[in-house]
Amino acid sequence: MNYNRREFIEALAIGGGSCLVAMTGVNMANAVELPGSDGRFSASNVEGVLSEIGAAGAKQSSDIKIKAPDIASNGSMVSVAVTSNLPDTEYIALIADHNPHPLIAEYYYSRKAQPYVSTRIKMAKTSQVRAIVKAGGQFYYASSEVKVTIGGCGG
Amino acid sequence: MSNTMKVRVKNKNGVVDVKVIINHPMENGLRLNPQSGNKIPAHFINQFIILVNGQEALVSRCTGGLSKNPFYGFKLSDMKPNDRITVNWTDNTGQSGSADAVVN
Repeated sequence: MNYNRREFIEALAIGGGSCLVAMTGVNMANAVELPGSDGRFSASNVEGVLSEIGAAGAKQSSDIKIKAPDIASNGSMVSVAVTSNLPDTEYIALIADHNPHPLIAEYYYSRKAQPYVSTRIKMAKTSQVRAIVKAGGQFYYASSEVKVTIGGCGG
Repeated sequence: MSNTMKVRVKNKNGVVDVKVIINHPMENGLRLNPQSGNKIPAHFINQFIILVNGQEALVSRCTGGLSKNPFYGFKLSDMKPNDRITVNWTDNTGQSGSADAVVN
């Protein structure tokens, strides 16, 4: 590109400005880091989801508590709460193993938010509900079986 | 109807319980219309963000795997009275919603 002096200075100012914005963005987001979603939501089995997240080697941990019913009469509304007692938890993902798309939601936590989530999910049929947790750069999981008498995913 | 949401906050010694309910169909794109037999198009919230005084505290990506009219419960720590909590959501069709609550 051929710049005359004025254009060059303008380009520099614009470039510098966007650098500054990018840096502020990083500072503000600080602990909330959002990678690309890749194919994780379209994966159709748990192994696929785990490998898309990068959590294939997740270790089971008793420091993750899942509060879910043993039996859900209505699969379209199953209350699930997850608490992670692992230090430096930055990420929690909710997975229902036998759903058409097992990954239901993922949560990225800053230090301001406690590693806890309570929500209501749909379940196609009886399966394990898993919580995948990333803490201190490592992946962990816990699971709890929910028996579903009427599925809630349609199709 | 589709754009109404409720945000409740409760402060307990600096830990704030945030409870959000959004009126949204959360169609996952897999269900069939019982009359026509056609698939009901996907229409679900795919991003949900909680800001505290304008700074991101929590970001969530979600799918039609959440129940209709989704409920979100979170806990925020080190909160002070008059901190402003903003909840933003966006769905796969580009609709969005936002609501504020102030810590008591």
